[in-house]
Amino acid sequence: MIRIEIPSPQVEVGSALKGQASWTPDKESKPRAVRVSLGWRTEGRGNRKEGTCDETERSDITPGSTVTLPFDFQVPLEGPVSYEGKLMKIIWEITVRVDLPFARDEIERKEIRVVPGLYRIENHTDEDLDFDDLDDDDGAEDDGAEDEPEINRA
Amino acid sequence: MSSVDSFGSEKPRLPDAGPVLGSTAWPVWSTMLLIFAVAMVFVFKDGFGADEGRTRFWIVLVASIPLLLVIVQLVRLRRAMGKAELIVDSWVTLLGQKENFVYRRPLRGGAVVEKLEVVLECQESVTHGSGRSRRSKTEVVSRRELAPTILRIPEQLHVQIPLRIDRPGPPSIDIPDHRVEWWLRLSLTMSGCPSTKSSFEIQVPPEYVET
Repeated sequence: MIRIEIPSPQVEVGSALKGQASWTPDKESKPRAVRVSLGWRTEGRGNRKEGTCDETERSDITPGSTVTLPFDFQVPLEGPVSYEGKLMKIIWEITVRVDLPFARDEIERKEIRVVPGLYRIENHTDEDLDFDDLDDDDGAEDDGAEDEPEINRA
Repeated sequence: MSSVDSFGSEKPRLPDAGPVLGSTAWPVWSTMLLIFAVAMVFVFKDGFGADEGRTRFWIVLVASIPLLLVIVQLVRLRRAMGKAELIVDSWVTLLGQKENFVYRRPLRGGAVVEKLEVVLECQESVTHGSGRSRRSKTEVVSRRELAPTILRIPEQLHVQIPLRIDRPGPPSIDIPDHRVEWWLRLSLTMSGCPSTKSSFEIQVPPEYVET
């Protein structure tokens, strides 16, 4: 049996997601490894896509014993965030996979919600603001800024 | 590209994504019609009877009328209005942040804006299939009309557009075959030149400011 414990099912981009996964074997079996990963996948009308952001694993496992694997994942600042729209869905989840030799792997998933995070200037570097490729060659023909404007509501 | 404001600081400017003539359908269909007519004239070159040359000429001439009209409209518009740009405070718009964008466009030759509609749209687009069967689908998920202020400046259209995208957004999403985009769309009903449209993509990162 696999259990995934996290303090909250909601996490902001750019923050850490800490928790613990545990696996209790049904019988005397020794898995090759227990892996925990954080990733997203899409559902809906587009081509199915998925991405893994972080992963941790443990392979020194004593046969028949409960395996506990703490994790500390970093949710990327750029997202994507969890999303449910008309054409697509972005689902974030923690996946625990128990790699069993000569048997089907045991898998457990827990959905989490990744939401926008509070803007912090220290999270950004100067490179984040480098948008040189957006430069356009059309020159402003005249801004007329010296003229006193007369205000009108559209 | 950036612009210097009255305080001397540089502000980013976003380029106009049109469509300049209000719709891309007319230019595309009129070009396709002309290509079709030229192709027909050459494929069935023996099927026009004795007066072959004149018939071919008339087919191509009639088929080129829609495209000529499109070109005339484009020239009239370019003579009356310069290129539009959107001056923004920053390259990105954070969720919850109050922004005051400026839409600026040179006006010449007596062109007057009769009606201006400014809309903020959020749209999803997905792509499915691969190779030749690759298809995209786009759907507008939210649409909000904004209240702009037009500043009357000689020979220039200068519009202030206050805007705020509240949490939870959604923020812009750009992963393969899946996009969520924010667009600021302006429809300008003109007198003295053809009506036109402008649109600007606004980048909304998954971050918010507390209000």
